[in-house]
Amino acid sequence: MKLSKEEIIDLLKQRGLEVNDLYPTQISVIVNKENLINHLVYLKSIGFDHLSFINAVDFIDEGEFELVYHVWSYTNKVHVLNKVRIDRNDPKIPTIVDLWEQAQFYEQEVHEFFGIVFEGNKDLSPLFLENWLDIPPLRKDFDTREFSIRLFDAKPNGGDR
Amino acid sequence: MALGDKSVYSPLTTLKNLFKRPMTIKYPKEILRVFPKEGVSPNYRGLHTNDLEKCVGCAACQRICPFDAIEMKIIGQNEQGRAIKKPVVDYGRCSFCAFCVDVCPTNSLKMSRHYIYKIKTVKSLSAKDEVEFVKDKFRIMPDEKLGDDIGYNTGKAKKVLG
Amino acid sequence: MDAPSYMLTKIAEKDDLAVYELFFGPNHPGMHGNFGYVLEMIGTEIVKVRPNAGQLHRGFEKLMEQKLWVQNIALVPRICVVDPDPNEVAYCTAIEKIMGIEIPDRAKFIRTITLEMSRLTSFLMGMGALGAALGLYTPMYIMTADRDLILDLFEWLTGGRIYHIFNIPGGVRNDLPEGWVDRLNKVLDHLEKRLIEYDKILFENPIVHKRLKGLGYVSKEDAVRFGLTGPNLRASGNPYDVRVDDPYAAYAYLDVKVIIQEGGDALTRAVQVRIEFEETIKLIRQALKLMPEGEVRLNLGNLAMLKVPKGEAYAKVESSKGEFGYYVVSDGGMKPYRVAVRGPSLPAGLLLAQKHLPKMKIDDVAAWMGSLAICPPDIDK
Repeated sequence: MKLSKEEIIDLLKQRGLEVNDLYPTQISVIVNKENLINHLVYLKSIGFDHLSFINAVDFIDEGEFELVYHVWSYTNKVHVLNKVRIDRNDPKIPTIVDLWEQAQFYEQEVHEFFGIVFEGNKDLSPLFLENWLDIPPLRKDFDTREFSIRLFDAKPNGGDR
Repeated sequence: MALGDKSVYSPLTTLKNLFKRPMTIKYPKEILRVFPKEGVSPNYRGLHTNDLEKCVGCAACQRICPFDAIEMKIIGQNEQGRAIKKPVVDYGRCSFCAFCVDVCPTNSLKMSRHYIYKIKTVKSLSAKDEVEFVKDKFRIMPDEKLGDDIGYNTGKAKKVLG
Repeated sequence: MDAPSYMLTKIAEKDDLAVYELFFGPNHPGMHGNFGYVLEMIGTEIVKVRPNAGQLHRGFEKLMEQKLWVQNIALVPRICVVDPDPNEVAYCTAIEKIMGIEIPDRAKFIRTITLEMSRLTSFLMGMGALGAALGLYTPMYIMTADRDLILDLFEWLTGGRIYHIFNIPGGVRNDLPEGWVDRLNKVLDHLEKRLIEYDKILFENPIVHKRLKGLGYVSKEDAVRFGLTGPNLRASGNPYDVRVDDPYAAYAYLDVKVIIQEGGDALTRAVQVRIEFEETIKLIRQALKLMPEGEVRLNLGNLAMLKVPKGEAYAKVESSKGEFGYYVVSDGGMKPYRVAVRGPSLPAGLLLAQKHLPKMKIDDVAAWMGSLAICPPDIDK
């Protein structure tokens, strides 16, 4: 059964969620951490079967990470950005590997670059970086310039400007 | 086509190919059918040229460069004692995106259709010195030497930036 | 992750048979780019696989936070070398969505044509690489030469052969040059004639049929469940295409035909690419016919000083490998706050590898990768 974007917004609002209508085929939903799995299971049951990817945004001024679960429905033709805010000092969130298997690798990636722990994910080993000892590199407080000067003895501005 | 139903004439295909032009191109001098000169398009983004008379040394190109490839070099002083600056391009960093050409307010900076640049290294140099030597040779102040063959350039109408 | 040993090492014994660990990486001629699988093998049969990504990780997402909005356009096409335009278009579309602007119709059509041309180059490269993975080098040579004809057109239009840096927020950088369309039509005619030859040397070749039939089967449900996109999804019988479902550029004006095949194995996927290649040529012709006159760019002032209002948008583009997506977050400043990239190859390259490769022979790994069009740069970014 095909649902229109307005119907989906209504359905989600009935569940007590804050929904923003962004673009003709895109809406964003603000979900809290405890409700996440429930919410995604519900979305999957109304036809949102494609998990595009998971990414994180570091809102350092607000002391929070925002995780965005991109879900697309092939039947309803709507893209939902499911946003979850979590505390930056204690970044933990339940895993969704049981719902979508490829989430395993997206979670590994987010864990590697932001240091967010996905509770229940059995394998959070590094996927891309080798022997990384510093703070996770996509956090806003990671300074690439300072890092390369310290680690590789690089000179500021290439050393010859 | 199923297996084994090959035409009796199939050996002739081989013969026909004998008289076709080869797909390979002789480098660099073969005149191509596509573009009249050395296979390079009229809009090619090659090595830079700069009309030093027109260039005002505003450093707009330096600011827009995504890869920090342009630096402004002081080449002298004018009557008021102000430094005259001209851009120097580091081809070790340049990505030939032509944003510097787009942003140039006087349209003095352009790109030529020349893309071959060669240097001779001195054999007696040590490995470390050779790096410095090559680094230095890759920094070129664009002038009108390559101006005979202008490629990507912006008239006022085509301007994207600035 | 431990760095893999670059030699064949014996790691265990199982039922009197030695288990060897083999690094199937960039050193292998069948590997597509800088990527690797660490294979555990008994004889030539794979028993376990561990993907070894990260050899091409260049930190694009971090780099993009440090550059101006327009400077990033010189950076994004480098994420996927064989199919660079979807990156530019997705990035620009995301910015345009946040700014709430609509680009001129002619610019939309020019974007569409360059996207489809880029798809052609990528398909040619993909089909050629698949042939080479099976030991058939002739298709690769012929297709590389034909790909060059399209690259010439790109050079004429944009000034660059591979990295076009052509799309900017608000439109494209310049209009089509005079005589360009005629030349494009000629090249398309040539490619259409060449298709017969491709069929003879590759798609009707008994070697290809024998090697690819039944290899790496993905069922209709699995293709959706694992997040496969693009030709891989359609070769498993799912009629989904971003160009139709969520139109961008000028696809809303065009009649895009979604072709599906039931089958889901490597041979079906190879044939899918071949059929879509033909369809792409038709689509370019259609776009050329419908293209309106007019401006090619919105005047947004000096793009170097561009400020994008606070907001976020996800823009996706159907590339030759699947859904390419850019999630852009702006805090209203001169630089993006965060850009996240969704590459199409990750589900196939990492997840499907762990499902398909065990029990497969090592000879088939390169062909399996070629059939799924796995492009490591967009896994690594």
